[in-house]
Amino acid sequence: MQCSPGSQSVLDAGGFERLLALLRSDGFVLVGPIARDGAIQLSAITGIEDLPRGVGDEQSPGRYRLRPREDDALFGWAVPSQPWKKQFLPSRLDLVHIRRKGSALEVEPAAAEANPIAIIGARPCEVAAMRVQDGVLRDGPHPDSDYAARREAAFVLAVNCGTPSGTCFCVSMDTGPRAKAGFDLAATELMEPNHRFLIEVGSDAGARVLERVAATPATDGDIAAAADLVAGAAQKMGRALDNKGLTERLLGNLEHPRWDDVAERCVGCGNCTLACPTCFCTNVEDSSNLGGDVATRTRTWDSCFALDFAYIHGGSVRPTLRARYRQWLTHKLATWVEQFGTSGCVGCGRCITWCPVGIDLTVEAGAVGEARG
Amino acid sequence: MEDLESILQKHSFLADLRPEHVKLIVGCAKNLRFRPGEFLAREGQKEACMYLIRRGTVAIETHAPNGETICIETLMPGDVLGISWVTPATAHFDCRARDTVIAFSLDHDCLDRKMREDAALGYAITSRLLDNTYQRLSRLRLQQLDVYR
Amino acid sequence: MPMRIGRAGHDIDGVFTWALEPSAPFAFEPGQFNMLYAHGVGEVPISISGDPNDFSSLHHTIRVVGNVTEALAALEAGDEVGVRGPFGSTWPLAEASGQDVLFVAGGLGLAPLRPAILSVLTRRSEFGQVTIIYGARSPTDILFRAELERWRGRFDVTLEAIVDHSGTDWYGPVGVVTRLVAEAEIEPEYCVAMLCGPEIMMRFTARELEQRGLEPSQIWVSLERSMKCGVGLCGHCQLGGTFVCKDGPVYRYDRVASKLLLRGL
Repeated sequence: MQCSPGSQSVLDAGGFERLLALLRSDGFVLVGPIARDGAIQLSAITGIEDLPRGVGDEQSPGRYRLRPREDDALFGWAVPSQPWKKQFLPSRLDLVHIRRKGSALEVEPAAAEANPIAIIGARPCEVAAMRVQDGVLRDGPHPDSDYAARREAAFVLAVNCGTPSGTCFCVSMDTGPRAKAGFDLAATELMEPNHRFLIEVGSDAGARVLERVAATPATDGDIAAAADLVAGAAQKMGRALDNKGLTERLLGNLEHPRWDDVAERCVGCGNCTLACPTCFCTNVEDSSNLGGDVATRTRTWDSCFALDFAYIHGGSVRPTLRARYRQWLTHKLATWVEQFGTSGCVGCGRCITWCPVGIDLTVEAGAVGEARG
Repeated sequence: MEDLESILQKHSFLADLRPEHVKLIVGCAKNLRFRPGEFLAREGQKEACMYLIRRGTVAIETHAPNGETICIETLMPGDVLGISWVTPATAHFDCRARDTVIAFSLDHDCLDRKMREDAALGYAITSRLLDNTYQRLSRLRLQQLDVYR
Repeated sequence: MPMRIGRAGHDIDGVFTWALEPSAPFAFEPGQFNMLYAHGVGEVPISISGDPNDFSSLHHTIRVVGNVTEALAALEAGDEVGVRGPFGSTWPLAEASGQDVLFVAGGLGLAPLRPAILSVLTRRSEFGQVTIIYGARSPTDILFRAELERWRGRFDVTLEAIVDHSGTDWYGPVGVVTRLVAEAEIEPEYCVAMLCGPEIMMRFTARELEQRGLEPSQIWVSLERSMKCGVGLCGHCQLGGTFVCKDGPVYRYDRVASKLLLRGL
């Protein structure tokens, strides 16, 4: 059938498997969700058999559990434990090797060209997060060339969400549960009466692939069932964030006692920044070989919760947890808007789930600026 | 030649002082000249007057046993020297003319008597001293921060 | 980009200046900085301290404060060093054109202001009164002393220097820069002030200038934060809704004053 951006068709499980196989044969490394060590994680996959069949999840502040589902859904959970950002912004990346020859320095690029990857099953909130990171790392006056190249080469197959968790609030952030943009193909997994996927085309690249899979046109019934599923998901958000006047309220209350209160609970581990799909901060480490003649500059993920993150001669600019938590939250929800025109939060809820002490961003953001009780 | 009263009135410390008040204190004032190196006040000695500097630079100094002279602050035309005058204390520092210094001296006992007799003059002089002291204090605080370290 | 150190000179205790020799003409605007790389040790942001009209020689004035600057200090003329840049915002020379210019530098803050001062002196007739106020810790800590004395000797520049404390080897004023700012001959309406030095000193100076009648929008400051990438990608130098490496280091004071007054922002 003819496919073009916006067109909708249907694949059964076999068709979905053919789609993955085609992407592989086109040279993409498939990266998708797998169930491992009691969590949905992201990993290289070979096909549909690697996906977490019949697995659901429960998420609440500081708590994450997998549970069996009563059906064989492949995408029957909310969001994986890890964000996708690693695919485009690796947690460690050698940037350059610098060789010293006598008094001279020679610079050699270190980054090997990576195989293009196909993102299999990113949630709408996560697709939105990719676009948020694009705004920071790709669309400014000084794009990160490695990020831009990985992003350019990637294929994004989004899967709309029918099963939000207790920490989800994509509806508040207007990023889900249905993907609106930023994908090549977006699937909605339907279980009744038979296991199938409604596929929406988001780009020409998506259309070209789908045309070769032999999808059948979507019926009104398929489209209605998919709409019902995401509409139901929208009603099941575990959390909500009141965005109205949020930026002004946070920035107008930088000395609010709630910052002291949250600093008492926060342990400064930085888990929220690792779990966050938009946190982009990096550091560069320097190392050299034993001979000392070849040095390597390696970019690594960093976190604004690290004490030395804002170190200048004489000490850290943010020596207290209060200052560091405030920096993270106000950047995510307020100054990000000033800088990049969007919120830095997509409502995936990971920072809430993976906080070891269960600090809830939606609660904290709501409490800052409230009159003292 | 201008008389003492009119030149006294031009000193920034006394700016806008009411003419009758200037008249009152002119009897306490002397116009003095100090040669370079001459001391206007010595550490440990009683300060009998305060100075309104008109010309030249006065270094406020102390010294260490090894003979090293340490300059803490310099005072310039428009400044007041001898604010410790407000308490019956002896000078804490040496005050040395770096170059030719011309200054009014205001005799302590004389000024004190007139300020007690005329509360409005007392207020006018005291508030100027307080303002001057505060400015000196805030500069010394910045100096104490040793920001260039 | 590796660059050869053409000349390395000692300025004052713990501070040295390099003249680097770029292989291609190196253009920058006053106020900008480069990331300097010591082989195997790391990179540090260092402001450019040389003449912006000299494309063949790139000057950096560096104080030894950490392991990277220590490694840089160990290099000699003829050695190569890594240079990335120029990065960051610039002193407002266009805005200052036709106005009086007041430079207030403290300690090593003279280095980032030097390209702006040299530019103004090169195009001297475009500006009104030029006043330079410099504060240092002690007479031996005065940076670029010979040059300051040369500038002070000009008929078209007013220059005053003050030290926090001195012995008898100093004939100038002793005290803090704000003292000189309070007495500087300026026309508040027609003045652009450029401040560079420790942040506390700049805050005090800006306050003094406001008392003199300058609007915060006439005052510019250069800030220091943890800068790693230089292009707003790594997040380290964030200050409110700005990244100091690309939105700064030079800021109009009214745009950052409230941020500087807040601890730990």
